[in-house]
Amino acid sequence: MGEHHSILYGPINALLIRLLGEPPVEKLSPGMAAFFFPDGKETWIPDAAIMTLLLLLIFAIFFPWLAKRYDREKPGKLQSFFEMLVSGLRGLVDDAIGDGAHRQYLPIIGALAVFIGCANLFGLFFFLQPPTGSLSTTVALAVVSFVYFNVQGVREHGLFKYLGHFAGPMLAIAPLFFVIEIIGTFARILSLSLRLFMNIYGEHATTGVFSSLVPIVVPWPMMALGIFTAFLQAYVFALLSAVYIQGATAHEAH
Amino acid sequence: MRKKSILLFALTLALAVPAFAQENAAAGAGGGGVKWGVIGAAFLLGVAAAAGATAQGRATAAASEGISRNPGAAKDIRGLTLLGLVLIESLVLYALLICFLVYGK
Repeated sequence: MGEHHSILYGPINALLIRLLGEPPVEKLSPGMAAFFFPDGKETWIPDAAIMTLLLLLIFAIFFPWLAKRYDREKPGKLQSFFEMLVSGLRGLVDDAIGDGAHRQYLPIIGALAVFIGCANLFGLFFFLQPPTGSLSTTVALAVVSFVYFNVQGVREHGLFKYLGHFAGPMLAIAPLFFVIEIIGTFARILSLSLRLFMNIYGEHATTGVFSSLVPIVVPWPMMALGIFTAFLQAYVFALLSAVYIQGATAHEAH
Repeated sequence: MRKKSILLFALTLALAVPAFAQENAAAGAGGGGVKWGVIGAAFLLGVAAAAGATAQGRATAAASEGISRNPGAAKDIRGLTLLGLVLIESLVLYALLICFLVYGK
């Protein structure tokens, strides 16, 4: 299974090499060089980053255009579809966090859901690569979610009280419980990122294998599964992020 | 129903027993050339897929029964079922990740 790149990978990196010269791999230590330039000296920007920037560009063009033609009296088909999407996400946030929570948390959860949903759908096009098929993107998204719910928890409870929530119900077992809870909370980054990455990368690689064997009809069931997985994984990522926010900001009845 | 699924699971594990014979034969014959990574990855993924499929089957069965008993709660049950299935699936995917990591060794 060789490397498969999007059609933008070659041209953009060639353009950057023309403009900026080769990436300065020699000036960095081997670890840093592998971190910043994972594909070696020929590429400035890895495929996942190019695809993410392309997705951001599409969003930056599409959503302002959509907002400008918002019509409250006569919603067209496109507007109705997005209104359904927003109300569905609002229901998700309200169910997971609490009534009225959508006023504060719908932007972040909605952004995560829409970004991940569209990013996963990139995997269905032969000339694109899904940005979430790279561990960099998914870990970045998971870190965003992690930092967000921790910051919200600290804002809600105060730093010491928030950390005190990790100590568990009884004071006697507090040290042990604290360690377990801390590890479990950090494991959320791992689980969120690995779940998304393995689903999308595994599906993409399997579709690639099927396509290389029989290009015409055989990949289609895998691609149908890919569409389903794309939306499902976005939904699950957003739902789990909302549940973590609820866990961090909940005021238990004493 | 529960005994049946446990029996099925044990049967699947038992089907993997010939793999042990293969290991011993290879160890006797190959010595330093035995690809433990490949054998380990294949065994691990078989067990993980079997366990994952059993668990997801039970989750789906419970969800179907719940909806059949109370069709009004179908939406809630469906949401909870999807979440449960995805969490079970993610465990199988962690096993797949380990398979990727040990495959070449």
